[in-house]
Amino acid sequence: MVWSRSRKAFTLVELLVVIAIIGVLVALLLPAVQAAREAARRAQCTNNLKQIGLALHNYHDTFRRFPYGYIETTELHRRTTWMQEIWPFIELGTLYDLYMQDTSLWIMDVNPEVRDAQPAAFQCPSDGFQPAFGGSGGRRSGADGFQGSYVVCTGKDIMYYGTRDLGGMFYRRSSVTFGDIIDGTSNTLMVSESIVRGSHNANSGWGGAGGYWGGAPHGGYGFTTLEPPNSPVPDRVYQCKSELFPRAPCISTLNTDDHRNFARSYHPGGVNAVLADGSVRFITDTIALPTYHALGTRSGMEVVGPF
Amino acid sequence: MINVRPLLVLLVATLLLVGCAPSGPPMYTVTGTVTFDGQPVAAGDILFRDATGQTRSYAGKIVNGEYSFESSPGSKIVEISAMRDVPGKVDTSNPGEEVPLREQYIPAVYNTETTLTADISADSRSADFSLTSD
Repeated sequence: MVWSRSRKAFTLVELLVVIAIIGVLVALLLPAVQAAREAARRAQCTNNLKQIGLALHNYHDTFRRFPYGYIETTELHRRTTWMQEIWPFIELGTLYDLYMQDTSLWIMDVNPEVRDAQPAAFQCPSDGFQPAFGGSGGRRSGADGFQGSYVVCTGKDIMYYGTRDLGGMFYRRSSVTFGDIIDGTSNTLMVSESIVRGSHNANSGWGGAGGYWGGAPHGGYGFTTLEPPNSPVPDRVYQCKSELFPRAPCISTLNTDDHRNFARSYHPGGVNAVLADGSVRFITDTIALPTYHALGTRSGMEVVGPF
Repeated sequence: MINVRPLLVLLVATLLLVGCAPSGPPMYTVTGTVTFDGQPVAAGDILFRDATGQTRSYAGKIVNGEYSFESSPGSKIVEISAMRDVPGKVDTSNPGEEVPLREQYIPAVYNTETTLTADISADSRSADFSLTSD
């Protein structure tokens, strides 16, 4: 009888079966491992947004208001944005001191050492083109200007150039306080992310999302909730870095009004965003449009559905 | 005696196809032509906005009077825009830079105050637009 004797080796069939089973398991596991890498990058991106949210809250605690989206009529650093304003609250105080020592009229001419600094807190690791330069005109005064991943919410409409209230938390010369957020801090978007369209400042674009060093009036400081995240509808800015970038189409207007940047990311299925209460949420591409519009405004009096 | 082989084939096929169901609403490739005063629009943009305002918009580029892009089905509000240079004028909004000024030349009734519509369904995946300047 075969089974009664003590066996010294595996049969060929047993060995093949074991190899086949291991093969199937590995085939199942490998794609999952690659997905885990993106999950880790997304977690890092979430953390960056959390820090930016906390920095904005600390800014509010100090100055009793949120920073402006951008400002263009000052005697110093024209077109400066919220990004530079929260530096002291996100452990970039030394860089901020260097920035404030500079007396350039336009932000595009500030000390190159400051403009080309690429703070990791403003880069989403899922965007393989970070760290990036651009969105703020061509090379000027010895620097290209850092382009970041994070943009503030201007409202649910076109990002008009004038000084009108765009309905969101940040716009030109905005000065929003917690008291102004009538919709509730848990129902109002503060900061989300976008795509930089390449690392290099090749085409001297103006206004691509994340262009903090001069591109702000052309759309670079913020985004609108007019269309849901990762929209196939093109962004419209003064001058696109690239008009046909994958996942981020764009139209160059070459005039100062009628700009729109939408929230975009390389995360599967949506974008990260921090709400005014400081919580970071994942907003899916398939969010109901009325809900997303409601999230974009701070006092629109809408009933916000689940998201 | 039941023949088990067809059942086995069915089982294997079912297992292979698990997870292959399409997700979300069906998407159709919409195509068509756009003319302005009888001439094909050389370069422009076309956008399909959901008439009910509940779901996202879809958009594509117009190249040599033709467009083709993915859209969900349904009743759509259509916006068409195209830009051209304004001869002899420059934009100086950025200090130290002069670029040729551009303007939208498609009338507002076709974009910001549009009256164009299209119905997209499995049987209707094409829409042609003849625009006029007056």
